[in-house]
Amino acid sequence: MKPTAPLADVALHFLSLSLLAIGGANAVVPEMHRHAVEVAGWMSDKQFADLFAIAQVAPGPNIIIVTLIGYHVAGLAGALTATAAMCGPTCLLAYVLGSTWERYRDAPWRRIIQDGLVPVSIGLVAATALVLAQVATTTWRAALVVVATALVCYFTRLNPLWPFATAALLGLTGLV
Amino acid sequence: MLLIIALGALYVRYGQFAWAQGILSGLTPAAAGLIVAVAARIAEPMIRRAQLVPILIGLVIFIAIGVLRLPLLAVLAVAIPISIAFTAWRRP
Repeated sequence: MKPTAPLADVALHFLSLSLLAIGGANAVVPEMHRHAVEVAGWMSDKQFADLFAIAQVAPGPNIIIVTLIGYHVAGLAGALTATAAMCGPTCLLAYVLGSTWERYRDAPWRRIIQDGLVPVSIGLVAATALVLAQVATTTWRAALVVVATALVCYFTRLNPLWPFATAALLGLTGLV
Repeated sequence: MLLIIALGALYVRYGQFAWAQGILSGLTPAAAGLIVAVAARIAEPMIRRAQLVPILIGLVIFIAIGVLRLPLLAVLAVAIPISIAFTAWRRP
């Protein structure tokens, strides 16, 4: 049972998320997952993880996962609605507050707010990592890919597209 | 933007095909792995600084959102004021 029309639900969900995205799109992935899979039932765990992967590989900011979720739920209108809802308020806020924020660049309270938000955003991105790793680990081989990619990306400066291409090839040949 | 919508359309149309499932069965865990590395990279400086309270705040948020799957708004409404208040108290 869906209490509202999908398009309205998409708009409301991403409007509220856009104001909570401290630390960027990667910080609000668990909340997107919670809503899209558990609350609204828009898609399965696997579909969510797939869309996230597509958004990572595609050129452009990570926030495009929002566009993909919107498209999945309500086609073209959904994609446009989701993107506008996610980016609109933030753009407006940046426009309105941006100059004020710049003017107080050296104000102590500004540094306090910024530094105070750091552990919050770190915790959020770590939660994103946990949720995605859980959702993506469907087999032990998939778990190996998660761990191998994490190690390569953590310890080397290699462009992530290389492990991505390798993993996609392994998947295509049926090795994963 | 158009490219992304095209990708979304491709996934909806062809996502269930065997070859697409094959590619994604490798790509999806790799994308998750990248975020694990990103999280580790940004957490590293905080852990190195070894201040108990910020680490604790990060850890509590990680558990509340990642493990307990609590609603984001409620968690942030509690965590952000605490974190900012602590930062202010540390550096008067």
